[in-house]
Amino acid sequence: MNPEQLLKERVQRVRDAVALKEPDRVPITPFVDVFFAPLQVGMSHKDAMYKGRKVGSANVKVLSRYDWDLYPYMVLSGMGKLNDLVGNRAMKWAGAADPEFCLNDNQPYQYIEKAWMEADEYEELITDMTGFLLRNIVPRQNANLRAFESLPQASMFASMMSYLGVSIFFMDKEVKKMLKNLKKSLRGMLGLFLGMRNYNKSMKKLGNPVAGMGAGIGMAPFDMISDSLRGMRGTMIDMYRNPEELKKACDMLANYQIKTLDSGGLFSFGGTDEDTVSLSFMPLHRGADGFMSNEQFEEFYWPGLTKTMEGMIKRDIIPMPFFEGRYGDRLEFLAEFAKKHKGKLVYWFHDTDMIKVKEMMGDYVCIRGNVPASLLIVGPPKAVEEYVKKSIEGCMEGGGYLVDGGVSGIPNEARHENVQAMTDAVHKYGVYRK
Amino acid sequence: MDFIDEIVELNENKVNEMVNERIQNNENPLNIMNDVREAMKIIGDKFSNKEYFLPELIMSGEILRQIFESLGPQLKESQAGGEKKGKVLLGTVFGDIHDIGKDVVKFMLDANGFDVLDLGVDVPADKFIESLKEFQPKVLALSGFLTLAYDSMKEIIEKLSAAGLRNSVKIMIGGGTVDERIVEFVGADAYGQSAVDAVNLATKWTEV
Repeated sequence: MNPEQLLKERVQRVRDAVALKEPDRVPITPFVDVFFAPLQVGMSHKDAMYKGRKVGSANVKVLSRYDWDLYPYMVLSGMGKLNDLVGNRAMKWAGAADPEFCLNDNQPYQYIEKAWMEADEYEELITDMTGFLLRNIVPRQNANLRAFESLPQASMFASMMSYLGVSIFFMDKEVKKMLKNLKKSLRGMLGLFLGMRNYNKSMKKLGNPVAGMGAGIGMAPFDMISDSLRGMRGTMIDMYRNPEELKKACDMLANYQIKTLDSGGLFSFGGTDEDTVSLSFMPLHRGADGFMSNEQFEEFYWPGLTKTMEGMIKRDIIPMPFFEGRYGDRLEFLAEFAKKHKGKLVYWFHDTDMIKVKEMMGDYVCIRGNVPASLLIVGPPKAVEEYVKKSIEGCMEGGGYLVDGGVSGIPNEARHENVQAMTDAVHKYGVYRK
Repeated sequence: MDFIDEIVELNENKVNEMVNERIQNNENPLNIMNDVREAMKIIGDKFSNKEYFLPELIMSGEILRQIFESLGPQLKESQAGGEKKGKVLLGTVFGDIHDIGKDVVKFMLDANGFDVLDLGVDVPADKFIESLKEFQPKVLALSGFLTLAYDSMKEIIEKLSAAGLRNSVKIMIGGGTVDERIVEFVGADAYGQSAVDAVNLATKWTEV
């Protein structure tokens, strides 16, 4: 089969499964954690943060070894230089220029969760969210973007001379300095974009479809506040002290995410093209069992998430929430939403009983997962094969099943022979018809 | 409702009011702390029974912080310690800066009367060994959210064995992707899926 046919066949297989039709075989569609391919070719985490083009080549070399139906898009590596130049204070990574934020050469980047805003700032946040975030949060999280503090108030733009408000901002000495710096940082990111483009093109030539990014990375609004604005501790205290403000902010963030969809998504350069499948990855954090009660989930977490997903579905974008942790206590919520949007979304599970999920909502939603990270790292291959076989037997009926890892798809430290065993098992046990 | 109930129900303002009243009545701060400990035990039990979740734990921690603040520096937490069940050394292993799971485990062990030493996050293997020698816990609890933590846990336990200390402690591990396979891989004794498991394991191991 030539690469073009192969590409078509694979894409169709995934589309069928998502639409709850039985393809010829269960598709295998792994996400791959950022550092898996670089580590496989002997690069360090630090190299991967700073050498985007090399990461692109590493991904082509490593991932094309596997006979998969959809390959992951490449993001988030090669961002080291950009992070340095904006003075990112919200994460730590290998090789960071500022020692306070530098991890050792062999550590993956990690986010710093803390209260970037105080509870008494909610009023400002919900009165003028864009203005507040630009003037306050962006500078707090990025030392070299402080010039945004001087962004003019809206009244400056609501005049017959709105250009004056704009000009005043861009004429500011600090703003000019910041723009110069940003220009430099974009050059620093070029390697990543070239790496992405090279990866997407090379994979396509080989008949390996690279997943589209859909609307980029979507989030549950509650997580956006918990991860990036108030910290988990702050947000959970807000559930008691400022519940209405918290809910209002979640709702506004859902609206903004939906508006982003209309403005064309994240990347205009280096992205994948149309003959692929786009699934909008939504990594969920605080909605898992144990984090909150079902009542709290229903009041604070679920409304913003479902509003965002409904906005995507209306625009023919397939949301793919990633239910990290366990969601056994939430299955009723998930099933009810799936019933309303049959065949329009993908649920990706980490540590929830997939076979139970299949029984409960397999007629409405395509499910994805969940070979454990521990198994892909420790193995042995035989145990991987058995796990995949069991999952396929329990989940393949009627289509609607995609094989992937549990957390991060293929974890950074996964071993090749285990990933190969996972791949082989799908080809061996996942056949609907020859 | 009495003082203990008000804490358990997380009625922040009422609790603060009552604490101030009791202080003005010159009540011994240790009495107040005994009530607080009782309340925390109930909150811990409610968490175990899935009546309470993280927001309640965090809010109760916030109430506790305010009580300490009101009682002032004359009362150290340790003074209100009461009889402790057993020592647990806790930390997130090298390479990993995640603390949520570890902090929940600490809260629940505290609430259940364990003497917990928390080494924080990104803790190098040697720091665990050193603290283990000084603190002499019965239980070592290793936390890690990233898959990279497997190797760090393994290194700690190998170093413990090399130092002849492996048999002096029981070791539990926990974190997002940790399971039975990883217990075997790193050479620990057990893993927990939740902070409740951590309390049950520590109780079992310190009862002997």
